[in-house]
Amino acid sequence: MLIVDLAIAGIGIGAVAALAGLGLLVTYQLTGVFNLAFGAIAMMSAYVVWWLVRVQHWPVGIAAAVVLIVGCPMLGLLLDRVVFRPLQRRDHSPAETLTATVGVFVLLVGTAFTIWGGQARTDAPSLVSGRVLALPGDTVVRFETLVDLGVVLTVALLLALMLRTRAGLSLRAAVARRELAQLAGIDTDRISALGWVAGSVLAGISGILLAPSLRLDPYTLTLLVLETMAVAVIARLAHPGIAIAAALAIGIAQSELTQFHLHGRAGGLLQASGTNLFVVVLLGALLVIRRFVGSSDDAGSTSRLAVRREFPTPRGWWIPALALLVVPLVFSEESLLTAQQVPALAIILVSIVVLSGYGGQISFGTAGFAGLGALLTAHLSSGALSSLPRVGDLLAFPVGALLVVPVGLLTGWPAIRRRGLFLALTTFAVGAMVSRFVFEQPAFVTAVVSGPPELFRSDHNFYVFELVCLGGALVLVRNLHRGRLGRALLAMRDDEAGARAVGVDVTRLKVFLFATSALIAGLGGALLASSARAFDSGSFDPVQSLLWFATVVVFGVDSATGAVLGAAVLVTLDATVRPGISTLAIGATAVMLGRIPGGALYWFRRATFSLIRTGGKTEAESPAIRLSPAGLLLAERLRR
Amino acid sequence: MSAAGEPGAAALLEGRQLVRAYDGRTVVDHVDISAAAGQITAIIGPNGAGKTTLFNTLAGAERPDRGHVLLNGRDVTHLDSDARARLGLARTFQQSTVFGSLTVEENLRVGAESRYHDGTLRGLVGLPDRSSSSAAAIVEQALTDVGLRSLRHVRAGGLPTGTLRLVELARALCTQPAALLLDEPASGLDDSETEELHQLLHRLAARGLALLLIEHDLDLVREAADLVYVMAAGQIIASGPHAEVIGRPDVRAVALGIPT
Repeated sequence: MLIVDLAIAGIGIGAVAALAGLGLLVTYQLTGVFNLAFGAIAMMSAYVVWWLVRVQHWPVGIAAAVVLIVGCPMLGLLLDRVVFRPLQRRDHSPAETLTATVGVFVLLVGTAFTIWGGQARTDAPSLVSGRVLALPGDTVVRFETLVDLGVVLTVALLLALMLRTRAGLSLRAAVARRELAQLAGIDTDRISALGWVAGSVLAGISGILLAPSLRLDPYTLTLLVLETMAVAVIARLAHPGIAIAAALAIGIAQSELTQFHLHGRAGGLLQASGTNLFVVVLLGALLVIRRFVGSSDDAGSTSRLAVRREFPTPRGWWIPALALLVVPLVFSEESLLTAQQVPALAIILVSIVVLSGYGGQISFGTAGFAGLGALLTAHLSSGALSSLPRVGDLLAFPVGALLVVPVGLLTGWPAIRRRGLFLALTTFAVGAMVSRFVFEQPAFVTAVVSGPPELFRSDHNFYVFELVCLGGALVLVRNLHRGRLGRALLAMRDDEAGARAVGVDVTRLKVFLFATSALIAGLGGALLASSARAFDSGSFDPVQSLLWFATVVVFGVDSATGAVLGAAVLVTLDATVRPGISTLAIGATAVMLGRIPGGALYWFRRATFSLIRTGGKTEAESPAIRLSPAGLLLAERLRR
Repeated sequence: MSAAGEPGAAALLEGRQLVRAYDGRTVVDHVDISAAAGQITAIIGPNGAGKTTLFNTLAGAERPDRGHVLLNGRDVTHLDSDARARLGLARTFQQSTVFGSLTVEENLRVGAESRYHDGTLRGLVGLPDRSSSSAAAIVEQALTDVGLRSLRHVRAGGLPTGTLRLVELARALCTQPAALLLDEPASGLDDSETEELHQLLHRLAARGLALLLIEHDLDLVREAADLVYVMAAGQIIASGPHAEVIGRPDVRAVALGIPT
């Protein structure tokens, strides 16, 4: 029976998804943090097991045990102590926590990439032998499936028991009202630590169980596990039972879909659904579930990450910046080719500054916009896709970018009533959908030729063309930050309710901002693909969105200068040291947000400012506040 | 004051049979309320009476489950708070919503500019803003009214609570409202500031604004309000000129917890 066979095959993936969903849920319940790094922890665990077994020749059982009993708990404790507890202590904003999880994510992906490289390994060791169990009728069950299911049920049982005990009661108290629980003598720090340990171990189990059936590379497994957060979202981050049921249902449904076949492009999409149902469900759930609409507990804006108002960019900054950007023109051909990535990437990062820095909207969908821009531009100039007219290869760049605007508008629409975490997840899901259903579909990407327009064919000329585009993007950005529009955007970022109350059309402004950001990202993507002379879906992987977001935050979320600098640093590090090192560096800086609020550039700016103003007042003090000697003493103590 | 407490005064802002419930708990229960132009109307009542929720439904931050909100005779129930603000309904909040990264003056500018709807695309391509000179004049007026001139270039983020309240009030005034809702405007202000606020409210009413305020400071209510609504458990239990309303022992007992 095909249906039964497929259902059983689907249970395997469903069970692992359930595990991942439970892990996310437990971490969220115990720590209040939605751990976006979950997939990366899973990937890292799978990698370490692979390394221990294939390189160090350990037995697989021992390797897995060491990773799950020693490695994952240690990582969990480390995350708790080094990254999240300082944030907790500092009365963090949700946006900061979210960024920290992105930082952990980026750090782990970068570490894996730096150590083991980007190539895919197909020999991830399996914990379970490949034996099958024959059932009556021709049905067979793979032993692995049974193990997956067994692990899920055990974990669920443990969880249920834990929540019923007295300890469980204090757990829930601590989560519901942290400060009150502290007053009641509950050690909330220990509970957070427990949450991180439990979450990391569950992530580790999911990764190790999933890896054998996938190819192991820094992105694939990470993304797959990340997509299973659909399950946690359906369970509204609260109900383990629903999470398990949903995971199994999606797993089975996804597997059943593979028995249908259609011809042509529809067939490709159907096939894609057969492997990517989790993404579809994730986006659907985020759009449909009412609780996430306007949920105030996750109302998070990036205000706290912003640096620019306090320490404005010095006048004339663009002179040295331009000089630096022009330098590659005297580089050797090979270096110039590498340098061509810088303006392209800078434009993409600037699109994030627009959305997240100026507008306060956290978005993880940038790679989707950028990739679409690249793809549309390529099709427009080559005429390979019959439904798109062929325009001149120079005109293809602006037209391609403009065609991304409708997608930006569509993404901006859910943003009207969502903020913080759920907006971030929605934009991530949009990016993942675009990646899975467009970038990875042969129908759209085969025979795509990306390259510089005829007029700027030579490497030098194309680099100049890129600089002109960057200049154009920066002019748009400057206009966004100035005058009435700039004030309205900052108002919306700082306090949405307040902005509405004085008549700022927040709805319109958000949609406008998403459209503008999509336009800029689309242009940047088109240039990035052209600089590589090919469309590579890997360059626009949803994981890239997270890396780019972390980069922008580290270099000052509301600083376009920082974005340009960030692009230069990313490309230079990867080209001169080794690929992946930039990811590692960005991740390492981003996780320290708890200790250096505002990112690295903030501190750099602060240092420069106090240097410039030595002798004068270092902090802008408002004349309304006059501190008594005792007050000054207190302020001094607080500052330390 | 003109026509103090007169029921016949034309209602500029009106709530009719407003109902708002959370999870089956009715917080605002069939409330009729109106604020007339040139008058100061106050809502008093114990904590949890539903005053702020009523405010939110009037201002548009929340939609009522039932009932209607009328501004100048126009039904605005289906409009968002920003659309209501552009029609002349301004408000302040109990917790500051001042834009921390903007200066005091810029905060006010946002209020003054948002009535002119177009300009987003103009701004993006860098064209000059057509509303800027009139907005600047409005901001000057509001800075003077509230007495914030000296702080105009200070970033609002670090200001003390009382000052933030004044910034918020000035910002609301910059939208040139016909009706102004003030949620506990005097909390966080010291005595002299409260007195100035009191004077300001009278001046605004004299200009023809309809003022509606939630206030715990009964002295301010006594001195300022033309008309008082008493709210308890989601319902309006009494309304009228303040002397008569607060004078009634039963009202004092229910609404203010003052023993008879």
